Amino acid sequence: MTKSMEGNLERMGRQPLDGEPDYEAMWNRIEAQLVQKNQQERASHRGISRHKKKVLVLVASVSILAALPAMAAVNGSWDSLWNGRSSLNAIEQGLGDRLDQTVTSGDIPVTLNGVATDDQRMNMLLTMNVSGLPAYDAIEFERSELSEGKNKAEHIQVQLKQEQGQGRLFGLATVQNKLGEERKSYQLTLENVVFYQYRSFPLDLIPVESQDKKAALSGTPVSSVEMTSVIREGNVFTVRYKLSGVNLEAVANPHLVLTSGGQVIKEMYAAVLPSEDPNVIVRQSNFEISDADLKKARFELSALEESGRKEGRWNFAFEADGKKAAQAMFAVKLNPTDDANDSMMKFTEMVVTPLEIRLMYEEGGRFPEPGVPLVNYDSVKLIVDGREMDSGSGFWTTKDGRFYRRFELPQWYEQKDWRNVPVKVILSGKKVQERANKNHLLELVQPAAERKTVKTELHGTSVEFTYYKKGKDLIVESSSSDPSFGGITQSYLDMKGERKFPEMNPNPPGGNGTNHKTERYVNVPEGDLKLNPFLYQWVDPKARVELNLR
Amino acid sequence: MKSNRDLFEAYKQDVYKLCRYMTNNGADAEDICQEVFIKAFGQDRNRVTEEKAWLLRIAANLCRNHYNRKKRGAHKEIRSVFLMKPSMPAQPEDEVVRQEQSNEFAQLLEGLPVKLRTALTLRYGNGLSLEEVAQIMEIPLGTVKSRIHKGLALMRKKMESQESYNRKGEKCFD
Repeated sequence: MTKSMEGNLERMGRQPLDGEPDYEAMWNRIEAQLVQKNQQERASHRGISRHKKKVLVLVASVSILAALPAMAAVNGSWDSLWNGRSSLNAIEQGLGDRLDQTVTSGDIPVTLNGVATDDQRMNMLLTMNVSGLPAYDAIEFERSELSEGKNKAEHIQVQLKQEQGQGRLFGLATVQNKLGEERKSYQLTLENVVFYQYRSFPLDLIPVESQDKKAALSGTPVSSVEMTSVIREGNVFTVRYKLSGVNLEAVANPHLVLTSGGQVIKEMYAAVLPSEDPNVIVRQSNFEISDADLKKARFELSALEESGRKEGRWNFAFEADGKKAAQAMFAVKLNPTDDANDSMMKFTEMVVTPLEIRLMYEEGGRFPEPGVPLVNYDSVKLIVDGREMDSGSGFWTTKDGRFYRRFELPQWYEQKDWRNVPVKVILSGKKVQERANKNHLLELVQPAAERKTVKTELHGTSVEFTYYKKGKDLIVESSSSDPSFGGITQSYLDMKGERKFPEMNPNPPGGNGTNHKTERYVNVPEGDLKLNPFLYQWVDPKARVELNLR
Repeated sequence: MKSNRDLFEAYKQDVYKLCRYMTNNGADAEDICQEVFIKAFGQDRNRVTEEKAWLLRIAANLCRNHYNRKKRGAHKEIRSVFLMKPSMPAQPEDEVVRQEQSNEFAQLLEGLPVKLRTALTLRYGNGLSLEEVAQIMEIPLGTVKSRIHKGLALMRKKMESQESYNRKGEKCFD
């Protein structure tokens, strides 16, 4: 190769690319996907994020347990902690290490019962005998770290749950597994058990009249609340608000609570939206509430504050062996023709580890084309050897970007020949994302301050669009009385062949309880406009797909 | 540690460039570029010391996965619906796959095996050193040199077959 050829290639490589993308639009899409992903991961994790380095665990929280897979009821232990039963089974089958080390500090004995691993995780099972536990909404170790050799200690996530009626806590600490097939020595350090309770602060804000209102607070861990959006549709009340001056060292999970007649109105859905400032929290909440109750409703600010603690420091030294677990793993390729289905998930492999079953899949497509919808199923159940397992609502990805659903093992099938174990997948909760043809244009005649409507049909369903101007901005509200219509995801204005998109307005995953969508087009020109419904969803809750994978 | 936005602003063009040369399709490149940052932001980057190399490694892996999917024909390629091409209003926007070969370098890369293409793109498209390419692809330096060498040999044949690249007295030999 001569230098001239290299020079030529370097020159060519420096040539500007033909048509770089709209990076700002790309960033908006990235932010929207991160919000959605964050919410899906929260539904599968057991905990509340205080800030990036700490995790709190809610005890007996219905919203968290709702995302857990169904398990047969057994004696209270680690069963209701995610991966607890599998970890215990793995240890009892000899695939993990039974430790039973007890350390007492401040009169509190903590036992490290055992450790179980697979290729991705190392789980440590703990118990703690504590008499006279105070009432609490959340609990954590103030410090929980794992170190190996001279490497820097890393913070680890610990789930804690109280055994009913007894002064005993069951704990499961999880960390990314870096064992490989080696045997390594570790130090686990736990310090101070801290209890938290929600504390409420009244707000001088009347919910139905709170649009664009701001309330300053004093003597609270948040300095102000600003309501940036308030929408009432049917019996759903949706608010978006900004909490400023949040003291993250003093509180966790600050949020608004809606009360009416002394009763708390539970959030249907909630999303924490992106914020560049760590002391500013932007949040959106949806409440289902009648007109009568909404009229007399009030807002409160609620946040978790420390309500008690048990001082102590517990150090454990132990060894963990990755070889046993690595040798016990099975991977079974799946036949694509067996699992052909209309969804985006193409199941490629089933991986069985001592801690879980993973159903690996490739996800086809990112966006729908006209006539080529994207189909997804909310529920993925696995039936192995006649036993049903639910993966919950979340999906997971490996380090190299492969998708999978997780299922907790009801028991360890060590003696089974996995090549012959019958496996079935049941998909249900069908959701379809479709794209309207580019010629599907609705005439918006001279948009002005008064509301006008135009109707169209999408997937055989009548959908109504109400449009009006607010200053120079155009507001488009869409909805359908047909419950199978899932709502407009995003529309656009056709401006002589170019597309103008509305402001980003993400919904929490699963929607806001209605198929109503409000979109704002900033600074539109005067005169007639053309609207394309673009991306929309419809649902079929009765659809069910059964796949015999083996 | 940079914020997500800062990270995106600092490396969006490097990542897009790699994706574009690897896929030779603007819509696919945009999809993958977006996916790179979504994956990166979901990972713990406290221990990442070289952000550019780390991002390009994610990008190279996703491009390789994309290439393998296309090769298997398992999925119909789906065009990014957000792709706006104001400079080409006459193009039918619903075409599923469109090859964009207006760039000389992209033309030479076309058809090369994915491993060679990756090494050449990182070296000449992204302007990285051989050591940096080795780090990103997680292969020995010798392997990088070998892949570059093989890729250049294939490119040379292409170049020689194009009249504009034939210059008197400048034929390249191994």
